[in-house]
Amino acid sequence: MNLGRAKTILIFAFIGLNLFLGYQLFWPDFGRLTQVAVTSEELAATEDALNENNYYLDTSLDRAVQTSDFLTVSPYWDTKEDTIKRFEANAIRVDETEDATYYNLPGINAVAHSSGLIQIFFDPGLSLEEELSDLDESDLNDLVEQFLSDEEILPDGALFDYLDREDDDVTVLYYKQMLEDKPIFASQLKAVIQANHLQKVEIYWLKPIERIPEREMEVIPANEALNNLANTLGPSTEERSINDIRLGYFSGEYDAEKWEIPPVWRIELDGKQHHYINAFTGNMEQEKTVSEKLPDEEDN
Amino acid sequence: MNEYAKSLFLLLLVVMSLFLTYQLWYGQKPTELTVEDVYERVVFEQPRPLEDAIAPSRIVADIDDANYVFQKGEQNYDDLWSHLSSLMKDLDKAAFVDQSSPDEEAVNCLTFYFQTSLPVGGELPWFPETVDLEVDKVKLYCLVESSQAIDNEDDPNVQEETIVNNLDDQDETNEPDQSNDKELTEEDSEEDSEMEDSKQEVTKWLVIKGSDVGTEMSVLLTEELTGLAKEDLEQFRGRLQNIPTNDLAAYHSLTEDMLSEQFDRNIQLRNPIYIPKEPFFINHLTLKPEKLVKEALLKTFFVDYNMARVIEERDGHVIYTDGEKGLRLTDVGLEYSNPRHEEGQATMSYHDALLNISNLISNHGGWPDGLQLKNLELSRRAGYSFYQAEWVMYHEGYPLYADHKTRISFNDLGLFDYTRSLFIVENDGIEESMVEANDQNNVEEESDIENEEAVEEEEGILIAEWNEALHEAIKLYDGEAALDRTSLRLESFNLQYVVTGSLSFPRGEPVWSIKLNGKEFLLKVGSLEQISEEDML
Repeated sequence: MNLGRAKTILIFAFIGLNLFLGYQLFWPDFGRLTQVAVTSEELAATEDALNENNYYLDTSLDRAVQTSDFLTVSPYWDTKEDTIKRFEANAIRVDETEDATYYNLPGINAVAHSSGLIQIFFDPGLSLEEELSDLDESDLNDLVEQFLSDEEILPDGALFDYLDREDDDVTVLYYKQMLEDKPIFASQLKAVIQANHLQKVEIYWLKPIERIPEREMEVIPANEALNNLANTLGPSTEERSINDIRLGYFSGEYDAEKWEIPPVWRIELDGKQHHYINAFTGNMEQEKTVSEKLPDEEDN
Repeated sequence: MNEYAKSLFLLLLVVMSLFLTYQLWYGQKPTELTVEDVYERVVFEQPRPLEDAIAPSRIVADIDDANYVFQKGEQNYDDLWSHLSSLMKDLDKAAFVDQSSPDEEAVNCLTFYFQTSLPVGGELPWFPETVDLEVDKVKLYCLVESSQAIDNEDDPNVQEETIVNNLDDQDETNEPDQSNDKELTEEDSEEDSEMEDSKQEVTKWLVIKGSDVGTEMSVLLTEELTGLAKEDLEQFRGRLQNIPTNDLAAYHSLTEDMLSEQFDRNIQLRNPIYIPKEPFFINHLTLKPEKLVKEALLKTFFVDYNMARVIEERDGHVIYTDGEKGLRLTDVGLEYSNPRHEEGQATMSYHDALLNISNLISNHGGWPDGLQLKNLELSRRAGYSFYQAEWVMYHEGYPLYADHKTRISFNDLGLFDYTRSLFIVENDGIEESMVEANDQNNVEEESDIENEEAVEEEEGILIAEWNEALHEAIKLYDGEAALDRTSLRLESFNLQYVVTGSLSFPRGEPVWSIKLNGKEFLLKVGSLEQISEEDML
């Protein structure tokens, strides 16, 4: 027998065997690379269902299979303390209740909530430029961002999210917190401009403590999140446009030491309204509500 | 060289195939399977059958002109309820055809009160195939009969005759009492004594009162009518006639006349209230909070508890939520809510609701010994209907209340609200106190005060008289300006325990619970010092 020939045959046999084993072993990941979470048929069916309920998809969907994990966070006390220190040093009047501390400076009222939320009210508003309504979104953002940075109000890592013109007179700019490639929608800086003046800034910033890789799971596809949204909201009486859908982290606001926040699909309706669908369970997450009252108003 | 390279390459391939095979066999699972995302059904314990889920709130026996009140956790209570339950299961439906009301001479010797109505009839275990009814009260009536009459009771003719004879006998026996002038001779006394020996109080009628006003059924308990075996009936009667009352506190029924005598105001009574005839001693209880297995509990609330995220509160309590429903675990129990399920209706029958609550509490934490269903009600709120059930822990006949109730609210959509706070009795406070006192003896000399305290703990606390307790409660009631003082209604008046102390040393404090016009006052049994909800755990 020709030993060399036998070796060649064995080499080919083992190459075949290894290819087979490799395919079996890595198939899920290969599958994930090539497999789509949302097929064309499923996407079409979702669009039909949305249209029946008067929702129209005006954006593209990420159709790949995606995974995510929980993120453990706590309120960003450093941001709160830094901001408070500035007020404490100069405050004329300080009131304190169980849930919040109130600071009064000439032209500024500030409330530091125990949950970590900070509200700064400018009275009367701060003039940023004579006529803001002429500025486009980008210029307005640059102007506000510059002011917030100069005043050391803008937290590190804040990124402009979107702008909402509530009416001709009121414009609200939203900034989000980023963690590597994913936004934390639960963290937010909100700047309210009215009559060309900055009237209010709200900061709720979270400190990411850890991601929990051992709980990494495949998230529901984007089309399923859209279906769940339409089911939860029900048919709309007027046409609603779905402008954006993206994956991030979100949870309600808790007066707690630390907590885990789940991945969510954030769905933007008509460019201003946001809904959060839990990317693991498919349930809609409750949006946080913030008291806008000052102590005097509460007393009254 | 070429052959050498081939050999090396072949060797490499062989090693690689071994490695790949090993990885395939024992290697990591793909991402979506790394967590236990498969629904695992966890059951704390099997749901209780209806017979074990519902029981009387109390049993009152009338023995020798005294009342004895039995509640969950006492031997008499369990025995009496067990016997009555068996009788009601075995009773022939024919027994209800010709209903026979108790004779006027008959005495209500035993009453079973059901705060949670007992469903009977239809396909239910009790009074099967009879009329569907929700029972609030089961009364047993007894009649004094001679031994001969008892022997002949199955013969209706003889029985009727016996009753008449008995009545004659009773009249004769009563005569001396009515006329004090008449003196009994020694002979007469002996005759009477013999007659007393041959007489016996026999349970003759069973009367069922439904929750609807006017619904009442009565059964003459004879072998013929009930379809019961003579031995069973005798055994039932025997148990009822031999209730051991030694070492038991005698009670008497409070009346509006008694209240008028004691208090210079009109106090109305709505429910039968039984109070101890004489003060007695009662002990503190040493308690510990119920410990539930967290992982198992999570699995009962969340289909996949890996989906639930954790919120650590500043007070150390932990909340688990999947964004829709939330479970909060505290040092003394749990709180669960699922707000989306609140917006539903409860269309199930009372009977189905009873079975449902048994499933719910058994699955979500279990139904420990001593825990009794207190009530189950159909409620309405904001256009939605739901059932609400509440349980109470009992220890040796006394209820033990914690600050948070053990309560479940549910509708056709499922469970939407659940609070649970249960404490388990480790031992009576007396033992603990005695041990502590002995330890102190070994270490240092006890002061006189400590001795007195130890003696007090050893004997227990002497409960205050009922009128003193009620007087204190009325004083507290009158002190609260917002309350109505025009009329006073005494709704309940009970001895019970409440959980006080600290988390590390919870204890059961014996209290008088007095409810006036809907306002409950908790007073320490001895000192009558008020205990507020803030003092409770």
